[in-house]
Amino acid sequence: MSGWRFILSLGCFIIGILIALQFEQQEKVGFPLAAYRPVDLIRMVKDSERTRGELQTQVEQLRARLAEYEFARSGRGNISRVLLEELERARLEAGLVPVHGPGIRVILDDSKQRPRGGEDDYFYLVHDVDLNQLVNELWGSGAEAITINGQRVVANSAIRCVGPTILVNAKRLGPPYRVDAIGDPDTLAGGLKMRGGFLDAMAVSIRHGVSALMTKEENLELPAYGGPMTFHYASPLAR
Amino acid sequence: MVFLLLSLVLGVLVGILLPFHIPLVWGKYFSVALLAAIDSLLGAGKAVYEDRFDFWLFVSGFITNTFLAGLLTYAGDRLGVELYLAAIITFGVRIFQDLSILRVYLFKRFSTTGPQGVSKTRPETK
Repeated sequence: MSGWRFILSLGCFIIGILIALQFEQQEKVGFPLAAYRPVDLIRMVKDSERTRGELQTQVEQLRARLAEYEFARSGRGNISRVLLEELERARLEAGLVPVHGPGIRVILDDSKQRPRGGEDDYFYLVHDVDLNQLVNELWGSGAEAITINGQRVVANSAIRCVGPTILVNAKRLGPPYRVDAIGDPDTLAGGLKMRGGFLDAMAVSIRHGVSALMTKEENLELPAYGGPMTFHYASPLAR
Repeated sequence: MVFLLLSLVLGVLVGILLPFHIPLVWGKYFSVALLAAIDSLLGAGKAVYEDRFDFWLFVSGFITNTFLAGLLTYAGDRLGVELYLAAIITFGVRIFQDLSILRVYLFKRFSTTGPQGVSKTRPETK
């Protein structure tokens, strides 16, 4: 056994250890998102959005089936009928059932004018804060159900801006934004027209060409909230 | 040859079984050091076939190359220059060169119908 065999074997041994350690580490790190090309990232987002849509229809189907089961079970006794009524009521309050009734429709759209040279485009666009304020005013004026472009606004709905689009219930929406609210049409309209109210707040934007059209409607139909409602951290406090 | 591969496999096994993980920030240094080690090893293999292998030359080369590569990477990180690329390119090129030379030697050794007069690779020195 000559010296080179021994030392080369030792070298190989060390390299083997290094390879294994390095491999394990790379496995653990995985492939960070920042290393992807934008094209791939766009594709990934599109894919996830499609999956999300599919899952959402699944959620709706499952909810419908659950309702059927509950109905079937409730056929037995009076107590369960009472419970079912209570459940229906809770569903209505949570925005999980489609509703219809009189109300108002507000359509907000970005300005058709272009900002003049050097001018900021802030007042030419409809922002998440505008929608937030509008929804707030509507709730404050006694609205009972609100949708934005068909997305039901529920207790944990967030309205926020992501790039040029607005996310409602984590669903991307683009202008024009159609806000439907069920409630007393006159009260709702009055709430928006009130001095210092929503339309006043939008005055500057409206002067820059942003449109805010309000119409009273005889019968609006609002879909149910379709997104997930999961509670990972909150659990009911025992009464 | 065989026990070189065996010790490589043994090393991989030991590495997998080691309860020790490379910290994330050291990943780059280890990859460069790994390349340097592979390069030294292939260089030594070549030297063995050329019959000018020197024990201490290999040991010192193995250690200095590995650490120098790590040091270069560190310096690059401090200076904001991706100096480790230089190490990777140098070692990568050398690895390919040494591999091709080694391949030629191995071919000559194991084929009976090699190029003229070289059926035996290691010249008799003793």
